[in-house]
Amino acid sequence: MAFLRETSSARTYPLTSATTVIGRESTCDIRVTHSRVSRRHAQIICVEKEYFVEDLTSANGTFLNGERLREKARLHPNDRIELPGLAVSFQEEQVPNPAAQPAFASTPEPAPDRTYIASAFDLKEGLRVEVAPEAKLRAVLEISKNLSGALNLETVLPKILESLFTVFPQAERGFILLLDPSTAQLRPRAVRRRDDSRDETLPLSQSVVKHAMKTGQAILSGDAGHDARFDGSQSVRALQLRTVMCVPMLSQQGTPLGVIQIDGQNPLKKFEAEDLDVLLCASAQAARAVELAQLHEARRELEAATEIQKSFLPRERPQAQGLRFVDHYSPAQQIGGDYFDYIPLPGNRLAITLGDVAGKGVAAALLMAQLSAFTRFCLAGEPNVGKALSQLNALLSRTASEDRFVTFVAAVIDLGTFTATLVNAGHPPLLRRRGSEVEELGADIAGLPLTVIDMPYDELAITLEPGDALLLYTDGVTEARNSRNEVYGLERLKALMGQGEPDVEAMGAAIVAEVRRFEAGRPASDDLTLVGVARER
Amino acid sequence: MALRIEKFGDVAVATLTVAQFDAGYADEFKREIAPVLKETRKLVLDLANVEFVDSRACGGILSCLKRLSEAGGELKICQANEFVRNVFELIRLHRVCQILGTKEEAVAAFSAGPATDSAR
Repeated sequence: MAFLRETSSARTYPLTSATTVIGRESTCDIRVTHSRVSRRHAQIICVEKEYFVEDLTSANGTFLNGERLREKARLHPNDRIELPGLAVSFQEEQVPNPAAQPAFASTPEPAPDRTYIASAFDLKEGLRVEVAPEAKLRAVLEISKNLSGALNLETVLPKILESLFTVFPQAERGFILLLDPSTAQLRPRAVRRRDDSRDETLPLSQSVVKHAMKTGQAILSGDAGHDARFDGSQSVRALQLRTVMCVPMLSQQGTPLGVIQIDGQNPLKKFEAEDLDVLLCASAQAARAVELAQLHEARRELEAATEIQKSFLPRERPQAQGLRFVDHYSPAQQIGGDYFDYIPLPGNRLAITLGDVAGKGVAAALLMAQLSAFTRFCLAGEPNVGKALSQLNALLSRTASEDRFVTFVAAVIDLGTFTATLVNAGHPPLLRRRGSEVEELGADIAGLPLTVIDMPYDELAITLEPGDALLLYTDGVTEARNSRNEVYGLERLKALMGQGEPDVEAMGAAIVAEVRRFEAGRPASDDLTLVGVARER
Repeated sequence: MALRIEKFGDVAVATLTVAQFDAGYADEFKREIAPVLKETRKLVLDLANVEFVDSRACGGILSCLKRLSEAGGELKICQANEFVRNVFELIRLHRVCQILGTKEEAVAAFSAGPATDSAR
């Protein structure tokens, strides 16, 4: 660390900030009360570990090693600086690796003695209404007024800081950090500076921020500045350059959403405990706005995924001589995990495909989009349906994450001969109705769900006789549960198909209606999808 | 601890300690099985305590199978109840992974050579 030492005494002045001003004015870092000293007489500047002395156009001059300074000059150890009433020498002491701390204060952990907590109180204890009630009301009103109608974080966060700058005139910088739920990391999402100073450092005290997040406490702290040269041997309080307020934003359930930090560098306008109280009040209001915006964004994401999904579900049933179709798709949540498609194929063939992607939400919807595209690609290019399924598996395996898998079933119908080729990857068996007989097909040829391991898939060829119906369905049908937690089950489904409507559309409608009746108003926990095809008599 | 790990020679036996192996437990399972999968190529999942599995549980087991088969290893399952066995049969797990009655049988099945059940 560098310092100035008086030549006539042992008194030292540590050079702890980028600029140390010497002069008669009370705001100077080193105050000299001599009558011939200018208000702001000279300054010591630190630029990248090098120190310079500069005369601030003083009336009576600054002298370096006996010569009057004409321009900024580099300082070397034992250089003498003289001005009226002050004679000092420049000293530098080697501090172990002071350069190790980068300018961005967001990375290093300040030593505990560099930051002290002046005041901390628990949000969970509730707000102390008796402290500065008018200021609190003003803060809350200011934020509410500013935030009305703002629904996305890009708008909300800057507005919160804007409001806080109105409430706290001494605030010079403000930050909002939000917890990224996917990484559990705090990320700076909004920054505001009162002036346009080219201060590139991000004066975030990580230890204070972490403390606030972990404990849910609001913190008012003093900080000696993130000056790597400050060795902590001086009284931190005496050298305190800025005050920082850091408050967590808590959701309505009390989980941390992020933190607001504001700081001021003017030592004459420090934040007081009362200000922290006001900021706490404001942060509660801000947290509501953040929560609302996050909900809104999540919904937008959901809507996007729903759009993706809708775009690859077929818009209409195919027209094929002698065949009738039915399909039903109802997702349990906004985004389902089920997929089905009708795919016209070369050689006068039509594929009916149906799949169930494990998991819900956006990631599942994206995997489903891939499933849809890859299925079309593989079936169109490979006439052997079993081989096409093996290819599909290999393609999907490359992109699917480890714990996602897809159960899949398909029937490729030759529209000229009414033969159908069936494949199955870990999916409930296809059902064929012939008269009143209902049969499970393809148990022997079924393989593992897609994306698990590379494996060959077998196929099974069957014939659709006049009047035959095929049903493809997801486990949302067979695993629907009633109030006694019993599952609907394959046997009920087969019985209904066997006795029920001969017309395939009516059959599909009857299955959906009976499953819904079985659930008796319980919200469905899984998507319900079915596709049926019947050969006309 | 969601898993209890025992070693029998070069065979690792992971015993699940929960009855409901579902979405709420799948992440924990995945986290705790990961270091085991790094060390062993012969793994037995002992499901004696498990009464129920859902699709996330299947995902967890299938990802074990995926990892092991990529490494040239093998997975065996023992003491699955009827419900769990039915779910596994539905997803055809039994075709590539032996499901055995006891832990001893499962461990012994490794020394007996490749699973006949999974031969295709």
